[in-house]
Parts: sequence; C-alpha cells; structure tokens
Amino acid sequence: MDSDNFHRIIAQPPVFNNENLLQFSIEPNKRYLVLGKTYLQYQIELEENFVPDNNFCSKVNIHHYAEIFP
Amino acid sequence: MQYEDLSYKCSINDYDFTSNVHDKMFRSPGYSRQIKYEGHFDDYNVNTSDLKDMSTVVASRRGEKFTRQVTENGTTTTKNFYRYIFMAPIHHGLAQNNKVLPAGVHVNLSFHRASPRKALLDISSTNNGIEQRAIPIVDPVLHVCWAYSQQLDQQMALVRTNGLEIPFSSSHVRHRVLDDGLNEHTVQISQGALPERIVFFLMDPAQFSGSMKLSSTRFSMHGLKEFSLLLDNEVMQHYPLKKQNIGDTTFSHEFYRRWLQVTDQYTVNDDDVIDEVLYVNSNFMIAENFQDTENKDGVLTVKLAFDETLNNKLLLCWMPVTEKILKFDRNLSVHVS
Repeated sequence: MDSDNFHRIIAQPPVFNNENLLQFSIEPNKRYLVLGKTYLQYQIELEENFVPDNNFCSKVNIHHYAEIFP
Repeated sequence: MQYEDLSYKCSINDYDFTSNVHDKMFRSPGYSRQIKYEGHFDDYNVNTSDLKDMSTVVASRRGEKFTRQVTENGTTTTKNFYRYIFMAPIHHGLAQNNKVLPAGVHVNLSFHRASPRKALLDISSTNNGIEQRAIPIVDPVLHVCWAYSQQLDQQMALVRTNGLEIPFSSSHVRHRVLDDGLNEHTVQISQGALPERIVFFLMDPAQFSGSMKLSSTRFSMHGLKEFSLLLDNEVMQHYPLKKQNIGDTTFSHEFYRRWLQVTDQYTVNDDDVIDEVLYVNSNFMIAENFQDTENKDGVLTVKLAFDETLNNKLLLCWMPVTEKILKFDRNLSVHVS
C-alpha cells in the first residue's frame, strides 16, 4: 500500500527518557504514518566488561506499548 | 480520553522473544548479520562461559572504543568503554508490510525499560554487575516516517465514509514449567480457534528471569528426544519429530528439516540459512503453520519426551501468532478485534 507514495522522515525527541520509561508521542498529522519505516536511534556506552547480546535493541526494553488515540 | 492499546504483554520477555523469533523466521541470517546497528551481531546465542573463549565474536560485537576517568571508592582510574549507535525498527504487527495509518490519529509509543541483565553479558572475572536499573539510553530520537501522495489521499478519503480496517499480526509469549523428576510431559497449549502459526522453544528458568551470565535467546534442545503436536488428541501430520541415536552419534535432522520447511528456507538455493549445529545448539525452535490446516479450531496439545529424567525444572515457551484487525470508523474512533 505504501510503495508508490512519497515519504518524509521527521526526527522527534522523546517525551520521557528515564530508567523506567522511554516514551514518544506522535501527534496527528495531515500525512499518513508508516510505522514500518519509522525507527528509533540512540547511543549506548558500555564498560569493556560487558558485551551486548544478540537482539540487543529488543532486550533494552521489557514491554512495548503502542496506543492509538482518535 | 478513550484510546486503543495495541500492546502485547504476557511476560517480561515478550518484546525480546517475539522480535527474535520473528527475525529468525522471516529474515535471512546473512542479512541480519549485516545490520549490527539493529543489535544483531552473529548467530551465536551463547552464554558468558562460552563467549569468554570467543574473542573474534566479542571483537565483532564491540563498538567504538574510548576511555573515561572513573572514580570508585575514592580512587580515580581510566577505564575502557565502547560506544554504540543503534537504529532499531519498531517491532509490531502494524510495522510489518509498510501498513499506512490514516491521517489525524495520535500514536503513543512507550518502551518500558528492562534490567541490564537482559541485554548484557558480563565477561569479566570479578562479577561486578552493573549498578543502574536500566542501561542509560543517550540522545534517543524517533525518526517518524510519513507517507503522502494524491493516490493515498483518494484512498484515505474513503475512511470518512466507510471507515478503514487494517489487519495485523499479533504475537506474545506464554510458558509452562516442566517439572524435574520426569522424562515425559504433556502440555495443553490452547483451546478454540487455532493461531495462524506457533513457535515452541525450551529454556532454563534462570535464562527467562535474566542473567548477565546467560543469553536469554539461547534456545537449545535440553535433551529433547521426541516432540509431538496433537490436535484434538490426534497426532498432527509431520509429527512426532524424533532425535535419532545411532552408536555414539545423535542426529537431529527431523527437527532441523521441519524448521526449514515451515520457515520456507528448505528450497533456498544459497547457503544463507543457519546450519544444523547452530540451530540445535543455540537457535532451537519448532514452528508450525496452521494456515493450511483443515480444522481451524480444537484442543492443541504437545507431548515431549527427553533422553533422561529432568534434573532441573525447564520452561516450555510458545509464541502463537494470530491476526487482529485495527478498525477505524468514519469518525476515526478506533478499536481492535
């Protein structure tokens, strides 16, 4: 459904970023949201004693909540 | 304000396991190894005890090295650190196949932070652990993709008269303790409508809880000898899957072959699949697809037999995948069925 469309990527900061929660609020827009081409970028700093496990980005978080408001 | 929650949250490992299983089923291993910025490094889901001896694997997982002055107990020392930049996709059914949401909706994405024990392996000999409750995430930015075109405007204009239905896959992880002292177990998995597909895997309870010495996604056979999938007490086609012992050699071909068949990797002509040794030792999963099954509901049960009586408790985990539909009415009120 999306392959013939134009795309615009807009970078936005989190609403919360603490040791409990990382949260983003995607406000309503006249364009159409494509979650499949949306991605989260961040940095991590690790002491040399620690090695990241495979599937690291999905292990940084326990739950992933997606809520849609009308 | 009313809203629709599209989350899946049955256990602390849902996000980890569902994304890992999805990647193993639908992404080429060779491709995954090329995208370290998504947190995939290699096919070796190993524990610390093995990783300590795998210097090449450790080196390939390292980021950019830098040093920092650290003060501990009044003493300042210089320590080596590694910096990583990750670009992670959103793991959700609505993020698959480039689905497009209607204009004018408000979406909240919340990531509840996990203990560092889930994501890190401690290769030091001192067992210092890590003090933080979660690994600090530095400079997070969500790169939100918006689509637009005249054609899309015309398609979406129909939402105002007809509403919109968006089907998406939903998955979660359930588990059952297999008690020690037995070598055969029967577990009822579900009753009623069958899922589209299901994936089973075994693990140590300590792995499930999270440990800096254990990889939470190291799925291995744990001495499994035979696995049967039953629908309404009848063994399904392709089952039981059996391990064969001939002399001192063990063959797990039946499990590996079925995995390749169900994941559509059996007819792939190149060598871009996980080999049998890696499958058995650290990526062991049993998958089944019910989309072409004649009966669409019933009682689903599994029977497991092990080489020997279990000395310790073991977890049987399973991930059913079902289709859900996100429905917007013409006023953009939303609900999931």
